[in-house]
Formats: sequence, C-alpha cells, structure tokens
Amino acid sequence: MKPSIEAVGLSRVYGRGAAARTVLDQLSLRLWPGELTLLIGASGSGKSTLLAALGGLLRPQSGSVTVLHTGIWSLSDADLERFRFRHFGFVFQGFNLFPALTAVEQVALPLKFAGVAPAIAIGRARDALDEMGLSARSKLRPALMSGGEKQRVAIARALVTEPDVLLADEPTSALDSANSEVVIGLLKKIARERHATVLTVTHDPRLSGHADRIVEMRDGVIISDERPKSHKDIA
Amino acid sequence: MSLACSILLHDWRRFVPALLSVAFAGVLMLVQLGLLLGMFGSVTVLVDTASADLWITSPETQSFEQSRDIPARLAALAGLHPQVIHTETMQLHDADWRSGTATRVAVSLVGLRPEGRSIACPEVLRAALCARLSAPMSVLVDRGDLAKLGIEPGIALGQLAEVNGRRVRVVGVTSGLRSIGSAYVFASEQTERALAAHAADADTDADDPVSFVLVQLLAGADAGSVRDQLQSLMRRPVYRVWTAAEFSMQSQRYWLLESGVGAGFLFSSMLGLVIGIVITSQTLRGVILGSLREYATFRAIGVPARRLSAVILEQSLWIGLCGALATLVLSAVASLLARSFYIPLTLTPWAIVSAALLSIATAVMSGLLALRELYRLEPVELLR
Repeated sequence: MKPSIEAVGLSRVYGRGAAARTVLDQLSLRLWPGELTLLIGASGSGKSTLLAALGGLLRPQSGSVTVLHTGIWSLSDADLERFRFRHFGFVFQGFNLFPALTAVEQVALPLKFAGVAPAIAIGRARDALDEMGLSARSKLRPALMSGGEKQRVAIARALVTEPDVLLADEPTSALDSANSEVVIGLLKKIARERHATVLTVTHDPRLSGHADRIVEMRDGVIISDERPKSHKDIA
Repeated sequence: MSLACSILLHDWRRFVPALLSVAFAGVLMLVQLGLLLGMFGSVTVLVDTASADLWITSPETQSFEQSRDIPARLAALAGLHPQVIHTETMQLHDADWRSGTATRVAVSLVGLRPEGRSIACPEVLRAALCARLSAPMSVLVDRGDLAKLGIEPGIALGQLAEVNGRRVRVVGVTSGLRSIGSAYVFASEQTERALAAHAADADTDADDPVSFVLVQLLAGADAGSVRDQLQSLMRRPVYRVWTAAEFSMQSQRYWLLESGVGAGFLFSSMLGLVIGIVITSQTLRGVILGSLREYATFRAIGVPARRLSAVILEQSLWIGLCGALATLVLSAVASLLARSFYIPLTLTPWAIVSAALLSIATAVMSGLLALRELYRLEPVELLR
C-alpha cells in the first residue's frame, strides 16, 4: 500500500540569529490511509507545526509534502486552497462553531460555500450528524450543547466534504473522559470505515489505547514511532 | 437562510449600533438637505407662487431679495408684445416693523395689486386674502413670523402695528410664505408706496419706481423666445428679463454659492457620513473579530476569503437597507416636527432616494473596510 501523506526533510525555524528556534528539523514521515495516528510530545516539540505543514496551512522552509501524489507546497495559493477543500478536514481544539447556527446548519455550511444546492447540503449534513450519533441534536445551537456534542458537530462539519485526510489538533483537551472516549472512537471509526488518513495531535494519554500508531516528537524530530497493537509493518 | 442573515438575526444586538449610525448619517444628510432646500425655496417663495411667466428686474439683480428699483413704464413696454396678455408691478422694500409688544424688527414690505386675479399675489392668498389688502393701511403677515413680529397668534386679526412709523392693521395671516431673511409683510402697492421710504435710486429714470415687472403670456407661448425679444427691447438702459424658472434658479444658486451655506451643508454632511462609516465599520469589525475562529476554520478547509467576504458584505447590505428604512421613518418624523414649527423643510423625492442610497453606501463601504480582518486571517493561528 502507498502512503497517503509523505513528508520528506521538513524544516522550519522560528526567529533569527541567537533567538532562532528549530521547530521542525529535517523531519520525514509517512502516513497511511485507514489508520488513526496520534502525534504526541511536549509543548513546543513541533507537533502543531508539523500538522500545519502537512495540512497545507504553514509552508515549511525546506522539504516537501506529498499528499495523494500531489506536492502540496508547489501548488499556487489558490490551487492549495482548492486542494485543501477537496481532500482535507480539520478539527480544532476550540470547536469554532457559529453561535447563530443550528448543528445541521453548521455542518452544511462547507458545502454551501462550495456552491452545493441547499437541500442536498442539508441532507448530507444530516447524514454526517447521524454518523456522529447526533441526529436528535441537529436543530440545536451550540449554546444548548455539551462540549462533547459540540466537538462531534465540528467533526461532522469536517467530514461532510468527505475528506481523504482528517487532521485534528487537541480534539479532546476540552472534554471529560467519557466524551474523549466517544470522540476518539469516532475518529478511529472514520479511519476504518472511510479509509481516511487521520492524524491527531494530542497531549491526552487517555487516547493512546485507541491509536493504530503513536508518533512522539521532541525538539522538531521524531523520537519514537510505535504501533501499540501492531498489525501492519511500516513500509 | 444565509449565514449572513442567521448571524444578523441571532446577534442583532451587536448590529444595532451599526444600524443606528447608518440611519443617523442618512437622517443628518436628509434633514440638512431638506432644510437647505426649504431655505432656498423660501428665498424664491414669492417667485415660485406667483403666476408670472417672465420677470423684469434691474440688471444687477442676482437674487430675488436684492432687487433694485426699475421704472414702472417697463410694464407698458412689455405689454406691447403680442404674446403678452397681462403685466403687473410688484414692490419689495426694507422697512421697520413695530408692534405694541415687540421692539423694532426689520421686515420686507411687499406691495401687490390687491385683487384676486393678481399674478403677483402668491397663489395661497389669491382666493380671499389678497383682496383684503385693498383697504388702506392693511397688511398680511405669515403665521411663521407672528412671534418675530410680536403678534399674539390667537388675536392676530385686527391687531395694529407700525411700519416705518405709520400705523397698519393686520387683516389676515398667511402660511407657508415665511421668508429666509426678514419677515414678509404684504400690502397693496398703494399702501406700500405710502409706507416705504424710497431712497432715490440711481438707476431709475422715472419718478414711478417699482421693484419688479411681472409678465403673463398667452397660454402656449414660448417664454424663452418672448424673453429674448423683450430683452432686446430693453437694451438701453439694460434691464434684465428672466423666465420665472430662471429667476428662481438663479436666486437659489446665488444663495448656494455666495452665502456659504452650501459649503457648510457639504461639510457637515461629509462629517456625518465619515462618522457613520467609522462607527459602522468598527461594529462590523467587532462582529468579524467575534467570529474570527469560525471564519479561520473555513479558511483552513479551503473556503476562499472572497466567499467569506460575501457574508460580511451581505450583512452590511442588510444593515444599509434597514438603516435606509430607519432614515425614511426618522426623516418623516423630523418633517412632521418641522411642519408643526413652521420650519421650511423640503423633502423632494430625489433627496429621499439619494439619502437612502447614501445609507446603503455607508454600510457597504463600512463592510469593505471591515473586510481587512478577514484577509489578514491566517488559519494556522488556530493551531497555537
């Protein structure tokens, strides 16, 4: 099987001269579809920067990122935007939901921005909410939902465009244990059932039991790369 | 419902300042424009309400109230033209007014032919009031000027006053004939002559000076060509022949350009506009900043900034439309208030339409200014 994401020799330095700090240091990584990979490490280890570089949000100073056979950092800004829309989903720590919109409207919004007809967009949004177990909450606004529900709405919003790659940044840090379990279970299900590449940056040790693979970073390099319940070889 | 409308309805309290500032910028402009038009209209109210087709004035007259005396025989000269059916003279002179209660007030004394069919007589007076002036030493004054003239509104009729030291009696009260400067006091030409202290006018070669000669033409006659023909008759010495519309327009233009009120109006309208734009764009900016993380999320998944901009612009357009509506309502209230205080506030359709368009433009410009926040947005900041 071919990797869906391949990063080679990524470097990123913040600041200059004596204040310079290397957050990515000639880092290379391959990710496969159908897997939930956790990216762990202390604060400042470079894991969020890596996520941004893989997701087409932050240009590395050197190195390349190939996603689904496309070198994303050689695309123009407009092409990169289109590429992100077609292939990436993002889930952030804050749920970033519009207070004014109901759950189903939040989830339909990416499709509406893409010009999908409203009725179709709402239908697909309902399907995505069903998948997240939120059918009953689809008419609620964020103010009436729990943190776990809001994060599931945010995941449904990331899923509705049927991304090949789902990138999540600390998706459970604002949630209690029970909700964290639910959310990480859903992320794993997405990897399995949709055959998506799911990369989750986290501090949360509770999640490791669910991961197919755990990559640990320190000072901009990968210091360990394990498969807790190993059933695949690293190619 | 669009995202823009959903946010507007859900967070309407946050948009109220923007709406109010848009509305007030519009009202400020509309009321000022209305006052200006009303004021200019009052400069020429006697020209606009008379039935004359042509006006003959002294050559240096730039505005109605600046008239200088011309000989009355010009009326007879104009009457020779085959298309002229009627001529009349009209007097306009400064005078002193004194009532029992008030101190001396400067007034403009207007002398008319005291007949119902007089063309110099303002339209509203023709039915009844004009004829009352045929009694010697009787005058009409405007309702809006009663306080200035020291006349009790309830018992105005029959009150006595002095003009240039001679006793006159108020025989009627007009409305809508308030002057821009000193109050109009209407009298018959004979009364006017008796009251006015004529200074010998250098331009006048007759001992029968008048302020204006008014000319009525045959129905269907071309005022422009008659004006040209009369003008060529009155070349030496030169008198000025105007069509009524020209004379009115020239008087208003004179006030707009020479009096400084035009520049003042422009300045304060611009000020209102700038303040409206600043407040509105700050409000919209605040609303964008409040949802910045949400917008950034959409930037992250590859929604182009221009699609998000369309949301903000749609919101500002709605604010503009609601603001324009509020402008119209508030202006209607202002107009009613003005009417009850006899303040000339003229709201013409084009003034109303342009104020409404201006409200919308204010909101949209504010929205465009607020867009900077969206374009500055880097979705990667969500990861920190």
